[in-house]
Amino acid sequence: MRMRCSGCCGPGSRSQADIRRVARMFRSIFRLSVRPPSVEQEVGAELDFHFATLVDALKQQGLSEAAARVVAEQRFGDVRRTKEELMRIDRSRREGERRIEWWREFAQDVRFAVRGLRRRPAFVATVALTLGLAIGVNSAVFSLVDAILLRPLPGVLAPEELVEFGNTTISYPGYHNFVQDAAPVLDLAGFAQRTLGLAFEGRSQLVRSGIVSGNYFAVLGGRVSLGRPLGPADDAPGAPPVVVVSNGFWARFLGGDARVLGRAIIVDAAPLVVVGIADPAFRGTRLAEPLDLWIPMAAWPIVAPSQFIGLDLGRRGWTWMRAVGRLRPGVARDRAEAVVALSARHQFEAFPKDEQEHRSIKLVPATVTATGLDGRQAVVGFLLVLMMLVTTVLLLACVNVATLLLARALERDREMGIRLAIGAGQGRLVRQLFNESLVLAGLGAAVGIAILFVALRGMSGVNLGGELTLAGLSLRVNGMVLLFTIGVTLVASLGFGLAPAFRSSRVDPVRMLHGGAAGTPSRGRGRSLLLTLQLGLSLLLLIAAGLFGRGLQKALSIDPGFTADNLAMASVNLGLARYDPARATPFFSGALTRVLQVPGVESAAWTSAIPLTPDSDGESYSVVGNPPTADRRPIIELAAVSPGFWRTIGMRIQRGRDFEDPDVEGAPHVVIINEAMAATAFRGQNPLGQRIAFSPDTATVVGIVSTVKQHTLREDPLPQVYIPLAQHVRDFGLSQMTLLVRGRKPGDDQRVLSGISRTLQISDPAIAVFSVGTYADHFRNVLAPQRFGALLFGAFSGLALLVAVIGAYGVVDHLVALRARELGIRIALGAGRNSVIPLVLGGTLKYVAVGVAVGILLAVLLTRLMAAFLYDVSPVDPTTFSLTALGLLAVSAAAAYVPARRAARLDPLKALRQE
Amino acid sequence: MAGANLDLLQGTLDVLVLKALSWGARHGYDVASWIRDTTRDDLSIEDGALYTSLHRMEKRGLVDSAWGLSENNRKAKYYRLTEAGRRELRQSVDRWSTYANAVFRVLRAGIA
Repeated sequence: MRMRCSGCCGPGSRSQADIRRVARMFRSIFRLSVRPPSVEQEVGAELDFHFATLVDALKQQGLSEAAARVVAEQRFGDVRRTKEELMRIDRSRREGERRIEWWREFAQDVRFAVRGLRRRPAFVATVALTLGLAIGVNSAVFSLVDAILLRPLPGVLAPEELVEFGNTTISYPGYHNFVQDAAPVLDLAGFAQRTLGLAFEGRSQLVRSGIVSGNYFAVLGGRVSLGRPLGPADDAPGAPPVVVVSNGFWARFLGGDARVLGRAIIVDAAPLVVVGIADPAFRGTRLAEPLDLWIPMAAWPIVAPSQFIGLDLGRRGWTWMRAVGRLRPGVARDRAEAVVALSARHQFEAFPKDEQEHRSIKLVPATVTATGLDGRQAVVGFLLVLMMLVTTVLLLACVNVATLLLARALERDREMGIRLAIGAGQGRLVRQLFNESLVLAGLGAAVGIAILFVALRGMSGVNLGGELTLAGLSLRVNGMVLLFTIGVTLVASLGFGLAPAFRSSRVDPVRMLHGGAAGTPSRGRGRSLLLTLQLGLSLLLLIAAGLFGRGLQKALSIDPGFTADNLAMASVNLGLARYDPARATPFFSGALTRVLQVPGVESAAWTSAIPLTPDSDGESYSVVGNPPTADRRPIIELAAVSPGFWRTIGMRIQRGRDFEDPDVEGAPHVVIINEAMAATAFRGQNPLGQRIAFSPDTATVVGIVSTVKQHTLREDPLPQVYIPLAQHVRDFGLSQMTLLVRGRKPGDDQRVLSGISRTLQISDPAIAVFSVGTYADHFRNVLAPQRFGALLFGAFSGLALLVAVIGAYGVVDHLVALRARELGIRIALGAGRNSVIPLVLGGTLKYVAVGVAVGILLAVLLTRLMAAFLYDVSPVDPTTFSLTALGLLAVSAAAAYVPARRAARLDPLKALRQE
Repeated sequence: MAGANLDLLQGTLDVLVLKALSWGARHGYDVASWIRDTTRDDLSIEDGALYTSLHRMEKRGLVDSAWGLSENNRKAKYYRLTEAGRRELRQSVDRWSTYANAVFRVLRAGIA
């Protein structure tokens, strides 16, 4: 029984047939995707049906057409608004469905591609790793470049407006002249940097400190996170001595407690009240020497009252400070430079003897001096070479992936032929290959990002020498560079990944299936070009790494002029313990006597200067009786040492005598000079017995010693004057002094360490003992930059070699596979199996030889850029060149041997049938 | 209570529509008529609101739709519950029963 009923009855009354009909309709419609009508049409049709049916129903109840229509609309509500609302909902629904559909198709494509790639795990792993390495190391190196060269002054306001007086140091009176004269063009601040001892709540530490003018924070725009920055009032004569500390130091050493504000910390000899904690990013203007303290210049005489190491605020020509200035709005650098130069000339005319340093002042952007002008060339060069290296890795990776993809494409010619033959459209093939390439590139990017983060983590602990650690840099991932490298690899993999689609579409399926085309491969000119480029780039990287390694080896074998092993050291700062010279003298001699009794100690001595450290104390001098030398007053480096210093450190006294016990305060002043000084300062006269003058008194030369490396291993011999500590306790004894101790036998340097610190503590429990350790550890730090460079280059070259070997193997393997048919015929015709191996090897090594030639050519052209980092090694060092070239040949031969052996074992029948 | 104009919340409307579709596919007119008849028009729901509810739930994936021929041979848009819609209906019925029972208990307290 079937009732015509327009919905007024219960659900049970609907006939089974109806339900089935509707169900069938749903099934067919949901499966078949026809082009849907527009949203407007759909909503319109739906509501038309509603009204038509309702009006019919109402008319059957006896209403007129017009009345029925009115009732229907009343029941509906606001028709126009509802219609709009429905259309809005439907549009957003369709939008969502389209998006879901897109992702579903994408996922399906990816799944399909993954299924295809799954059959070649080695191929996939190789491509992903190669791309990943290139992406990872490029981004990592750029992060380094970014932190060092592009953003070298974190925490400083608008660093591009800041300039420094190049490498020129100026005197304090000179600084005030400059401030005044340059005021219309520059807002100038002054600063100097020193390492000072600091004591707080019974603990002590060495800190890198800035001695700054009152407007330093204002000019740089340096902010504080607590308290206040230093201001002009702090730099006024007689102002209470105050200090601002860096955020890191505050957290590390002062316990991160805000209550430290207003309390005093002891810096060298002086109590300074903490008035501010700097913003975490602000560390001064030297990347390599981030500051932990800022002391106003007015407080400096209180901190360091000694005449030698003090930064004399009143003396003309006593150049110890630097100037940094902000260009006034609209002022160009060269205009400001002209104003500064004029001021310098006026000063020179007024004080011709003293203000000579000022004569050639260049204004250099502070972003440039941030890396240190002396070191800058090295830093920039190093980064440049590093960038070239990783760019080469990127290029090599792209080439490698290209060869791998092309090799795979050739393998697939047959597959593609079959697909074309059974009617697959070219578009379909392109889409499939595109997806495969996309999946490969995606994997590569994922691996690359992982490698990037591992590399950044790994590098962050590295010491770049001095106090420049990568941890101190604000390394961050640069999204643009990451995208760029991923983009480059994507283009490479898509470009070469799609090649087979176009190749294949040109392939005649009939010929392909007959096996003709694949059996006689067209050895593409492009492919051999890629192969030689691949091998050439690999060799270039190997040569670069080899040169760096040899440079490091040579640097390690430089004679520093003293015996670095089996030395221990410990430092004290008596100024921190409020000593005066009268107490310091017995402390030094008493501690020395006690240390010599520690078992394992051969000899010991005090010194104010440890070889191979960046800091030094300088003084201008003249030889008594000689007219002043040409244009400037020579500066020598001063070191105060106790008798026995030479024996302890392993230097020789060439002529004359050591300091002796009678050389004490009150006795005639004596000095010992090194050979470099003897050679330059005395014009061939015998220096012994001559007198040299350095303010305020004169001293007689009593001995000449060998020259040691003072600051770096690569420096030229520097003139040095040694003075007896006993005569200069007042000047040197109250700042940092180091006790050097030589052990009796190897290993004693380690064993005597605890004995040394105990002895110093017994001598006076109130003093702080710093930097107890072996000289060997110090030496390792000195060589850290070279080690880092060698490590980095070594690691990259190792990776490059790996990439190159994998690539070479893949290519050779592929070449052999292409010749399988030919080789099969030869074997079938009776060629000895062993004769096949040299045939294959020879064919391969021909490519390798060309590749090696290309590599050597590239290296000759490019390695000269590394010359600055190669200590005593020629950038075209024949040993390195020949060894690496031979190495690459050997590795390629080994890579070729495996497929060659396989070729020799070919079953000729199989080989022929297969093709 | 008959004839009272109840302020219907969107959620309530959705439950009614889901319930209307629980026996199989229906078009919008059918849904409206069924609800009107079943409630004896006590709730006086505007038809437009029902359509809005249907379209919203289609967007949320609780119902899907297809065009078909109605009993009077006109082209009509049919809706049916999806699996998610069926789940939603079950949960709503539970929620509603609990709520209504609780309210009833409060209102009847002291009367019995």
